Amino acid sequence: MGLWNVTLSLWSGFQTTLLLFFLTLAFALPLGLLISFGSMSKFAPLRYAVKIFVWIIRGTPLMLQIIIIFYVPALFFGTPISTRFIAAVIAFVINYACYFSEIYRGGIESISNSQFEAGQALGMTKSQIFFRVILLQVIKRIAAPMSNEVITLVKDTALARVIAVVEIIRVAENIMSGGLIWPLFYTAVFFLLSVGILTLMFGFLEKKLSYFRA
Amino acid sequence: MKKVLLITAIMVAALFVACGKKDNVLVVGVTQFEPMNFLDANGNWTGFDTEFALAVGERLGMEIQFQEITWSQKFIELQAGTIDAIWNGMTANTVDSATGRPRHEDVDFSYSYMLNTQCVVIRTDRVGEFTSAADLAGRTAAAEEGSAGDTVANEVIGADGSFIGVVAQIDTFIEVKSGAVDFAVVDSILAHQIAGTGDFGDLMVAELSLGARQEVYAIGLPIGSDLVEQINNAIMELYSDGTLRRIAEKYGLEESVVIGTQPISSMH
Repeated sequence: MGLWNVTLSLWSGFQTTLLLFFLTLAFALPLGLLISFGSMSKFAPLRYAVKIFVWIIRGTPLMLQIIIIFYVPALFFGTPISTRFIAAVIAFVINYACYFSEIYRGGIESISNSQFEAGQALGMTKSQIFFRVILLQVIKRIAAPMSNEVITLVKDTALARVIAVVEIIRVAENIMSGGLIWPLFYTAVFFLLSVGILTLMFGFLEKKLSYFRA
Repeated sequence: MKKVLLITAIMVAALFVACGKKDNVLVVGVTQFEPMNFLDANGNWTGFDTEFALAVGERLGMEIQFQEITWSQKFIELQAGTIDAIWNGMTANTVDSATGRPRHEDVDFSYSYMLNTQCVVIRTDRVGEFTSAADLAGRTAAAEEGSAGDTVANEVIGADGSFIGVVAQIDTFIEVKSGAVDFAVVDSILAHQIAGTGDFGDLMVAELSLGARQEVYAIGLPIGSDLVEQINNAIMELYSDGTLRRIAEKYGLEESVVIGTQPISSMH
Protein backbone atom coordinates (compact mmCIF):
# COMPACT_ATOMS: atom_id res chain seq x y z
CA MET A 1 0.00 0.00 0.00
CA GLY A 2 1.50 3.31 -1.07
CA LEU A 3 1.20 6.72 0.54
CA TRP A 4 -1.77 7.69 -1.61
CA ASN A 5 -3.83 4.57 -0.88
CA VAL A 6 -3.05 4.78 2.81
CA THR A 7 -4.10 8.43 2.81
CA LEU A 8 -7.38 7.52 1.11
CA SER A 9 -8.09 4.72 3.61
CA LEU A 10 -7.28 6.95 6.56
CA TRP A 11 -9.38 9.74 5.09
CA SER A 12 -12.41 7.42 5.02
CA GLY A 13 -11.89 6.81 8.73
CA PHE A 14 -11.28 10.50 9.36
CA GLN A 15 -14.68 11.31 7.88
CA THR A 16 -16.21 9.31 10.72
CA THR A 17 -13.97 11.22 13.14
CA LEU A 18 -15.12 14.55 11.72
CA LEU A 19 -18.79 13.55 11.73
CA LEU A 20 -18.53 12.55 15.39
CA PHE A 21 -16.78 15.85 16.11
CA PHE A 22 -19.35 18.08 14.39
CA LEU A 23 -22.40 16.19 15.71
CA THR A 24 -21.01 16.38 19.25
CA LEU A 25 -20.54 20.15 18.92
CA ALA A 26 -23.95 20.67 17.32
CA PHE A 27 -25.76 18.95 20.21
CA ALA A 28 -23.46 19.62 23.16
CA LEU A 29 -23.16 23.40 22.68
CA PRO A 30 -26.91 24.07 23.25
CA LEU A 31 -27.32 21.22 25.76
CA GLY A 32 -24.43 22.63 27.78
CA LEU A 33 -26.18 26.01 27.97
CA LEU A 34 -29.30 24.28 29.27
CA ILE A 35 -27.28 22.43 31.90
CA SER A 36 -25.57 25.66 32.98
CA PHE A 37 -29.00 27.27 33.51
CA GLY A 38 -29.92 24.26 35.65
CA SER A 39 -26.77 24.59 37.74
CA MET A 40 -27.55 28.29 38.37
CA SER A 41 -31.25 27.74 39.04
CA LYS A 42 -32.81 29.37 42.11
CA PHE A 43 -34.86 26.17 42.54
CA ALA A 44 -32.56 24.22 44.87
CA PRO A 45 -33.62 20.61 44.02
CA LEU A 46 -32.99 21.23 40.32
CA ARG A 47 -29.69 22.94 41.05
CA TYR A 48 -28.46 20.04 43.17
CA ALA A 49 -29.73 17.39 40.74
CA VAL A 50 -27.84 19.09 37.89
CA LYS A 51 -24.70 19.51 39.97
CA ILE A 52 -24.74 15.81 40.92
CA PHE A 53 -25.23 14.87 37.27
CA VAL A 54 -22.27 17.04 36.23
CA TRP A 55 -20.21 15.48 39.02
CA ILE A 56 -21.02 11.95 37.78
CA ILE A 57 -20.19 12.75 34.15
CA ARG A 58 -17.02 14.69 34.92
CA GLY A 59 -16.06 12.14 37.56
CA THR A 60 -16.01 9.04 35.35
CA PRO A 61 -13.89 8.26 32.29
CA LEU A 62 -15.43 9.07 28.92
CA MET A 63 -14.33 5.65 27.70
CA LEU A 64 -16.42 3.99 30.41
CA GLN A 65 -19.40 6.20 29.54
CA ILE A 66 -19.17 5.10 25.91
CA ILE A 67 -19.15 1.44 26.92
CA ILE A 68 -22.08 1.91 29.33
CA ILE A 69 -24.22 3.82 26.84
CA PHE A 70 -23.70 1.23 24.12
CA TYR A 71 -24.02 -2.00 26.12
CA VAL A 72 -26.35 -1.23 29.05
CA PRO A 73 -29.59 -0.59 27.09
CA ALA A 74 -29.05 -3.83 25.19
CA LEU A 75 -27.90 -5.95 28.15
CA PHE A 76 -30.49 -4.91 30.71
CA PHE A 77 -33.41 -3.58 28.72
CA GLY A 78 -33.19 -5.58 25.50
CA THR A 79 -33.26 -2.43 23.34
CA PRO A 80 -29.92 -1.99 21.62
CA ILE A 81 -29.09 1.49 20.34
CA SER A 82 -29.44 1.35 16.58
CA THR A 83 -25.78 1.90 15.73
CA ARG A 84 -22.45 2.09 17.50
CA PHE A 85 -21.85 5.49 16.01
CA ILE A 86 -25.05 6.90 17.53
CA ALA A 87 -24.10 5.45 20.92
CA ALA A 88 -20.74 7.19 20.65
CA VAL A 89 -22.41 10.48 19.69
CA ILE A 90 -24.75 10.27 22.72
CA ALA A 91 -21.85 9.61 25.08
CA PHE A 92 -19.76 12.45 23.65
CA VAL A 93 -22.68 14.91 23.69
CA ILE A 94 -23.52 14.23 27.35
CA ASN A 95 -19.88 14.35 28.41
CA TYR A 96 -18.96 17.51 26.54
CA ALA A 97 -22.23 19.30 27.45
CA CYS A 98 -21.28 18.93 31.12
CA TYR A 99 -17.83 20.43 30.57
CA PHE A 100 -19.28 23.21 28.41
CA SER A 101 -21.93 23.98 31.06
CA GLU A 102 -19.28 24.85 33.63
CA ILE A 103 -17.51 27.12 31.15
CA TYR A 104 -20.82 28.83 30.35
CA ARG A 105 -21.59 29.21 34.06
CA GLY A 106 -18.22 30.83 34.69
CA GLY A 107 -18.79 33.19 31.77
CA ILE A 108 -22.34 34.14 32.74
CA GLU A 109 -21.50 34.70 36.39
CA SER A 110 -18.57 36.93 35.41
CA ILE A 111 -20.96 39.50 33.90
CA SER A 112 -21.66 42.16 36.49
CA ASN A 113 -25.07 42.07 38.12
CA SER A 114 -25.64 45.75 37.33
CA GLN A 115 -26.21 44.82 33.68
CA PHE A 116 -29.12 42.55 34.65
CA GLU A 117 -30.49 45.34 36.85
CA ALA A 118 -30.13 47.93 34.10
CA GLY A 119 -31.99 45.65 31.71
CA GLN A 120 -34.79 45.16 34.20
CA ALA A 121 -35.01 48.90 34.78
CA LEU A 122 -35.54 49.29 31.01
CA GLY A 123 -38.39 46.81 31.18
CA MET A 124 -36.65 43.99 29.29
CA THR A 125 -37.67 40.40 30.00
CA LYS A 126 -35.18 37.91 31.42
CA SER A 127 -34.63 36.20 28.06
CA GLN A 128 -34.27 39.55 26.26
CA ILE A 129 -31.57 40.53 28.75
CA PHE A 130 -29.80 37.21 28.27
CA PHE A 131 -29.85 37.00 24.48
CA ARG A 132 -29.45 40.73 23.65
CA VAL A 133 -27.13 41.94 26.40
CA ILE A 134 -25.31 39.10 28.11
CA LEU A 135 -24.72 36.34 25.55
CA LEU A 136 -22.23 38.00 23.19
CA GLN A 137 -20.12 39.22 26.10
CA VAL A 138 -20.14 35.70 27.50
CA ILE A 139 -19.06 34.26 24.15
CA LYS A 140 -16.09 36.60 24.07
CA ARG A 141 -15.03 35.71 27.61
CA ILE A 142 -15.35 31.94 27.15
CA ALA A 143 -13.74 31.75 23.69
CA ALA A 144 -10.33 30.75 25.05
CA PRO A 145 -11.45 27.97 27.44
CA MET A 146 -13.93 26.72 24.82
CA SER A 147 -11.14 26.44 22.25
CA ASN A 148 -9.34 24.15 24.70
CA GLU A 149 -12.35 21.84 24.99
CA VAL A 150 -13.05 21.83 21.25
CA ILE A 151 -9.45 20.92 20.47
CA THR A 152 -9.55 18.16 23.08
CA LEU A 153 -12.73 16.85 21.46
CA VAL A 154 -10.97 16.36 18.11
CA LYS A 155 -8.56 13.95 19.75
CA ASP A 156 -11.05 12.35 22.18
CA THR A 157 -12.98 11.01 19.19
CA ALA A 158 -10.35 8.25 19.07
CA LEU A 159 -11.99 6.78 22.19
CA ALA A 160 -15.01 5.75 20.12
CA ARG A 161 -13.07 2.76 18.81
CA VAL A 162 -13.60 1.04 22.18
CA ILE A 163 -17.06 0.06 20.87
CA ALA A 164 -15.61 -0.60 17.42
CA VAL A 165 -16.55 2.67 15.75
CA VAL A 166 -14.16 2.65 12.82
CA GLU A 167 -12.55 6.08 13.15
CA ILE A 168 -9.14 6.99 11.81
CA ILE A 169 -7.01 5.24 14.44
CA ARG A 170 -9.04 2.05 14.13
CA VAL A 171 -8.46 2.17 10.36
CA ALA A 172 -4.72 2.56 10.97
CA GLU A 173 -4.77 -0.39 13.38
CA ASN A 174 -6.55 -2.46 10.76
CA ILE A 175 -3.89 -1.57 8.20
CA MET A 176 -1.33 -2.69 10.77
CA SER A 177 -3.01 -6.10 10.90
CA GLY A 178 -1.85 -6.49 7.32
CA GLY A 179 1.78 -5.81 8.32
CA LEU A 180 2.18 -2.05 7.79
CA ILE A 181 3.01 0.04 10.86
CA TRP A 182 3.70 3.62 9.70
CA PRO A 183 0.07 4.59 8.87
CA LEU A 184 -0.66 4.58 12.62
CA PHE A 185 1.91 7.35 13.16
CA TYR A 186 0.81 9.13 10.00
CA THR A 187 -2.69 9.68 11.51
CA ALA A 188 -1.07 12.46 13.58
CA VAL A 189 -0.96 14.60 10.43
CA PHE A 190 -4.76 14.53 10.15
CA PHE A 191 -5.20 15.60 13.77
CA LEU A 192 -2.54 18.30 13.54
CA LEU A 193 -4.11 19.83 10.43
CA SER A 194 -7.58 19.84 12.00
CA VAL A 195 -6.39 21.40 15.23
CA GLY A 196 -4.36 23.94 13.23
CA ILE A 197 -7.49 25.02 11.34
CA LEU A 198 -9.50 25.22 14.58
CA THR A 199 -6.78 27.31 16.25
CA LEU A 200 -6.86 29.79 13.37
CA MET A 201 -10.67 29.92 13.51
CA PHE A 202 -10.73 30.62 17.24
CA GLY A 203 -8.05 33.31 16.81
CA PHE A 204 -10.22 34.92 14.13
CA LEU A 205 -13.31 34.70 16.38
CA GLU A 206 -11.53 36.34 19.30
CA LYS A 207 -10.35 39.17 17.04
CA LYS A 208 -13.89 39.70 15.75
CA LEU A 209 -15.22 39.91 19.30
CA SER A 210 -12.46 42.18 20.58
CA TYR A 211 -14.56 45.36 20.12
CA PHE A 212 -16.35 44.36 23.32
CA ARG A 213 -13.29 45.37 25.28
CA ALA A 214 -14.37 48.43 27.19
CA MET B 1 -34.61 29.99 26.89
CA LYS B 2 -37.76 28.09 25.93
CA LYS B 3 -36.50 27.90 22.38
CA VAL B 4 -33.16 26.52 23.53
CA LEU B 5 -35.02 23.96 25.62
CA LEU B 6 -37.25 22.91 22.75
CA ILE B 7 -34.47 22.67 20.19
CA THR B 8 -32.31 20.66 22.56
CA ALA B 9 -35.18 18.33 23.40
CA ILE B 10 -35.87 17.70 19.72
CA MET B 11 -32.23 17.05 18.96
CA VAL B 12 -31.81 14.68 21.90
CA ALA B 13 -35.01 12.83 20.93
CA ALA B 14 -33.73 12.51 17.37
CA LEU B 15 -30.63 10.77 18.69
CA PHE B 16 -32.60 8.02 20.35
CA VAL B 17 -34.73 7.10 17.35
CA ALA B 18 -33.67 3.54 16.72
CA CYS B 19 -34.48 1.43 13.73
CA GLY B 20 -35.56 -2.14 14.41
CA LYS B 21 -33.24 -4.99 13.55
CA LYS B 22 -34.12 -6.88 10.43
CA ASP B 23 -35.12 -10.54 10.59
CA ASN B 24 -33.18 -13.08 8.65
CA VAL B 25 -29.93 -11.22 9.13
CA LEU B 26 -27.05 -12.85 10.97
CA VAL B 27 -24.69 -10.24 12.40
CA VAL B 28 -21.28 -11.88 12.68
CA GLY B 29 -18.81 -10.34 15.14
CA VAL B 30 -15.26 -10.25 13.76
CA THR B 31 -11.88 -8.66 14.33
CA GLN B 32 -9.13 -8.17 11.76
CA PHE B 33 -7.41 -11.54 11.83
CA GLU B 34 -5.56 -12.70 8.75
CA PRO B 35 -6.28 -15.14 7.16
CA MET B 36 -9.69 -15.58 8.82
CA ASN B 37 -11.33 -12.15 8.47
CA PHE B 38 -9.62 -9.13 6.95
CA LEU B 39 -10.34 -6.24 4.62
CA ASP B 40 -9.20 -6.44 1.01
CA ALA B 41 -7.80 -3.50 -0.98
CA ASN B 42 -11.36 -2.27 -1.69
CA GLY B 43 -12.36 -2.34 1.98
CA ASN B 44 -14.52 -5.47 1.66
CA TRP B 45 -14.34 -8.29 4.19
CA THR B 46 -12.55 -11.36 2.94
CA GLY B 47 -10.72 -14.37 4.42
CA PHE B 48 -11.55 -17.96 5.26
CA ASP B 49 -14.15 -17.31 7.97
CA THR B 50 -15.70 -14.54 5.88
CA GLU B 51 -16.29 -16.83 2.90
CA PHE B 52 -17.29 -19.69 5.20
CA ALA B 53 -19.91 -17.49 6.91
CA LEU B 54 -21.27 -16.28 3.58
CA ALA B 55 -21.54 -19.89 2.34
CA VAL B 56 -23.42 -20.94 5.49
CA GLY B 57 -25.65 -17.88 5.18
CA GLU B 58 -26.52 -18.90 1.65
CA ARG B 59 -27.47 -22.41 2.83
CA LEU B 60 -29.68 -21.03 5.61
CA GLY B 61 -31.17 -18.30 3.44
CA MET B 62 -29.82 -15.65 5.79
CA GLU B 63 -28.06 -12.41 4.98
CA ILE B 64 -24.65 -12.19 6.67
CA GLN B 65 -23.47 -8.86 8.04
CA PHE B 66 -19.96 -8.47 9.43
CA GLN B 67 -19.57 -6.27 12.48
CA GLU B 68 -16.14 -5.37 13.73
CA ILE B 69 -15.85 -5.77 17.49
CA THR B 70 -13.24 -5.49 20.23
CA TRP B 71 -12.22 -9.07 21.03
CA SER B 72 -12.21 -8.75 24.82
CA GLN B 73 -15.87 -7.66 24.64
CA LYS B 74 -17.05 -10.54 22.46
CA PHE B 75 -19.30 -12.19 25.08
CA ILE B 76 -20.85 -8.86 26.12
CA GLU B 77 -21.60 -8.17 22.45
CA LEU B 78 -23.28 -11.55 22.08
CA GLN B 79 -25.29 -11.20 25.29
CA ALA B 80 -26.36 -7.69 24.36
CA GLY B 81 -27.55 -8.96 20.98
CA THR B 82 -25.40 -6.41 19.15
CA ILE B 83 -23.97 -9.42 17.32
CA ASP B 84 -25.56 -12.84 16.70
CA ALA B 85 -22.43 -14.96 16.39
CA ILE B 86 -18.72 -14.87 17.19
CA TRP B 87 -17.11 -16.31 14.08
CA ASN B 88 -13.53 -15.17 13.93
CA GLY B 89 -11.15 -18.08 14.40
CA MET B 90 -12.26 -18.48 18.01
CA THR B 91 -10.51 -21.22 19.92
CA ALA B 92 -13.33 -23.22 21.51
CA ASN B 93 -11.61 -25.57 23.93
CA THR B 94 -9.91 -23.02 26.14
CA VAL B 95 -10.45 -21.04 29.30
CA ASP B 96 -11.21 -17.43 28.46
CA SER B 97 -8.80 -15.34 30.50
CA ALA B 98 -11.23 -12.41 30.58
CA THR B 99 -13.95 -14.44 32.30
CA GLY B 100 -11.80 -17.12 33.93
CA ARG B 101 -14.24 -19.77 32.69
CA PRO B 102 -14.14 -22.30 29.87
CA ARG B 103 -15.61 -20.55 26.84
CA HIS B 104 -18.29 -23.19 26.35
CA GLU B 105 -19.94 -21.91 29.53
CA ASP B 106 -20.58 -18.54 27.91
CA VAL B 107 -21.55 -19.58 24.39
CA ASP B 108 -22.95 -22.60 22.59
CA PHE B 109 -20.43 -23.81 20.03
CA SER B 110 -21.01 -25.17 16.56
CA TYR B 111 -19.02 -28.17 15.35
CA SER B 112 -15.36 -27.28 15.36
CA TYR B 113 -13.95 -26.68 11.88
CA MET B 114 -10.24 -25.96 12.14
CA LEU B 115 -7.17 -27.08 14.08
CA ASN B 116 -4.94 -24.54 15.73
CA THR B 117 -2.16 -24.37 18.29
CA GLN B 118 -0.58 -21.52 20.19
CA CYS B 119 2.93 -20.65 19.08
CA VAL B 120 5.73 -18.34 20.16
CA VAL B 121 6.77 -15.36 18.03
CA ILE B 122 10.22 -13.86 18.57
CA ARG B 123 12.59 -11.47 16.86
CA THR B 124 14.76 -13.33 14.39
CA ASP B 125 17.98 -11.80 15.78
CA ARG B 126 17.23 -13.32 19.20
CA VAL B 127 16.58 -16.86 18.01
CA GLY B 128 19.67 -18.09 19.88
CA GLU B 129 18.11 -17.19 23.23
CA PHE B 130 15.19 -19.51 22.73
CA THR B 131 16.26 -23.10 22.23
CA SER B 132 13.72 -24.84 24.44
CA ALA B 133 10.43 -24.07 26.09
CA ALA B 134 12.28 -23.73 29.41
CA ASP B 135 13.91 -20.53 28.06
CA LEU B 136 10.51 -18.84 28.17
CA ALA B 137 10.20 -19.00 31.96
CA GLY B 138 10.73 -15.73 33.79
CA ARG B 139 10.53 -13.66 30.59
CA THR B 140 8.19 -10.86 29.57
CA ALA B 141 5.47 -12.10 27.23
CA ALA B 142 2.64 -10.43 25.32
CA ALA B 143 -0.66 -11.87 24.15
CA GLU B 144 -4.10 -10.61 23.30
CA GLU B 145 -6.11 -9.98 26.45
CA GLY B 146 -8.70 -12.70 26.88
CA SER B 147 -7.27 -14.90 24.13
CA ALA B 148 -6.12 -18.51 24.23
CA GLY B 149 -2.57 -17.12 23.91
CA ASP B 150 -3.10 -15.15 27.12
CA THR B 151 -3.73 -18.39 29.03
CA VAL B 152 -0.74 -20.22 27.48
CA ALA B 153 1.64 -17.25 27.92
CA ASN B 154 0.86 -17.04 31.61
CA GLU B 155 1.56 -20.76 31.96
CA VAL B 156 4.95 -20.70 30.23
CA ILE B 157 6.40 -17.57 31.87
CA GLY B 158 5.71 -18.94 35.33
CA ALA B 159 5.56 -16.94 38.55
CA ASP B 160 8.72 -14.90 37.81
CA GLY B 161 7.66 -13.75 34.37
CA SER B 162 5.63 -10.70 33.53
CA PHE B 163 2.70 -10.57 31.18
CA ILE B 164 1.52 -7.76 28.92
CA GLY B 165 -2.09 -8.07 27.71
CA VAL B 166 -2.82 -6.10 24.54
CA VAL B 167 -6.04 -5.33 22.70
CA ALA B 168 -5.42 -7.24 19.47
CA GLN B 169 -3.19 -10.16 18.47
CA ILE B 170 -1.44 -7.94 15.94
CA ASP B 171 -0.36 -5.55 18.73
CA THR B 172 1.80 -8.33 20.17
CA PHE B 173 3.90 -8.19 16.99
CA ILE B 174 4.76 -4.53 17.66
CA GLU B 175 5.59 -5.39 21.26
CA VAL B 176 8.05 -8.05 20.08
CA LYS B 177 9.48 -5.98 17.21
CA SER B 178 10.14 -2.99 19.48
CA GLY B 179 11.77 -5.21 22.11
CA ALA B 180 9.20 -4.21 24.75
CA VAL B 181 8.57 -7.91 25.38
CA ASP B 182 10.72 -10.99 24.79
CA PHE B 183 8.11 -13.00 22.94
CA ALA B 184 4.43 -13.21 22.06
CA VAL B 185 2.00 -16.11 22.15
CA VAL B 186 -0.50 -16.05 19.30
CA ASP B 187 -2.55 -18.42 17.14
CA SER B 188 -0.30 -20.36 14.78
CA ILE B 189 -2.80 -19.73 11.97
CA LEU B 190 -2.12 -15.99 12.31
CA ALA B 191 1.57 -16.22 13.16
CA HIS B 192 2.50 -18.20 10.06
CA GLN B 193 0.64 -15.71 7.89
CA ILE B 194 2.07 -12.49 9.35
CA ALA B 195 5.47 -13.18 10.95
CA GLY B 196 8.18 -12.60 8.35
CA THR B 197 6.08 -10.39 6.06
CA GLY B 198 5.87 -6.63 5.57
CA ASP B 199 7.02 -4.57 8.53
CA PHE B 200 7.06 -7.78 10.55
CA GLY B 201 9.77 -9.28 8.32
CA ASP B 202 12.21 -9.42 11.23
CA LEU B 203 9.91 -11.67 13.28
CA MET B 204 9.63 -15.45 13.19
CA VAL B 205 7.75 -18.34 14.72
CA ALA B 206 10.04 -20.07 17.23
CA GLU B 207 10.41 -23.81 16.77
CA LEU B 208 9.52 -24.60 20.35
CA SER B 209 7.33 -27.35 21.65
CA LEU B 210 5.01 -25.63 24.12
CA GLY B 211 3.28 -28.84 25.02
CA ALA B 212 0.18 -26.82 24.18
CA ARG B 213 -2.72 -29.08 23.39
CA GLN B 214 -4.54 -29.22 20.13
CA GLU B 215 -6.99 -26.37 19.85
CA VAL B 216 -10.02 -26.16 17.62
CA TYR B 217 -11.89 -23.20 16.16
CA ALA B 218 -15.67 -23.13 16.37
CA ILE B 219 -18.50 -20.64 15.94
CA GLY B 220 -19.84 -19.13 19.16
CA LEU B 221 -23.61 -18.65 19.38
CA PRO B 222 -25.87 -17.47 22.22
CA ILE B 223 -26.62 -20.14 24.84
CA GLY B 224 -29.71 -22.11 23.81
CA SER B 225 -29.71 -20.74 20.25
CA ASP B 226 -31.64 -22.89 17.79
CA LEU B 227 -29.18 -21.77 15.12
CA VAL B 228 -26.56 -24.22 16.41
CA GLU B 229 -28.21 -27.22 14.78
CA GLN B 230 -28.97 -25.39 11.53
CA ILE B 231 -25.39 -24.12 11.26
CA ASN B 232 -23.99 -27.58 12.10
CA ASN B 233 -26.05 -29.11 9.29
CA ALA B 234 -24.82 -26.44 6.90
CA ILE B 235 -21.20 -27.07 7.94
CA MET B 236 -21.56 -30.80 7.22
CA GLU B 237 -23.06 -30.08 3.81
CA LEU B 238 -20.34 -27.61 2.88
CA TYR B 239 -17.72 -30.11 4.04
CA SER B 240 -19.13 -33.04 2.09
CA ASP B 241 -19.63 -31.13 -1.15
CA GLY B 242 -16.04 -29.79 -1.03
CA THR B 243 -16.95 -26.11 -0.69
CA LEU B 244 -15.10 -25.78 2.60
CA ARG B 245 -11.96 -27.31 1.15
CA ARG B 246 -12.07 -25.01 -1.87
CA ILE B 247 -12.28 -21.97 0.41
CA ALA B 248 -9.45 -23.32 2.60
CA GLU B 249 -7.17 -23.80 -0.42
CA LYS B 250 -7.50 -20.12 -1.31
CA TYR B 251 -5.89 -19.23 2.01
CA GLY B 252 -3.47 -22.15 2.30
CA LEU B 253 -5.43 -23.68 5.18
CA GLU B 254 -6.49 -27.02 3.64
CA GLU B 255 -4.31 -28.97 6.11
CA SER B 256 -6.07 -27.33 9.06
CA VAL B 257 -9.70 -27.89 8.12
CA VAL B 258 -10.99 -30.77 10.25
CA ILE B 259 -14.60 -31.05 11.33
CA GLY B 260 -15.09 -32.12 14.96
CA THR B 261 -18.56 -33.12 16.10
CA GLN B 262 -17.86 -34.04 19.72
CA PRO B 263 -19.02 -31.53 22.35
CA ILE B 264 -16.40 -28.87 23.19
CA SER B 265 -16.87 -29.49 26.92
CA SER B 266 -15.38 -32.98 26.46
CA MET B 267 -12.21 -31.59 24.84
CA HIS B 268 -10.61 -29.81 27.78
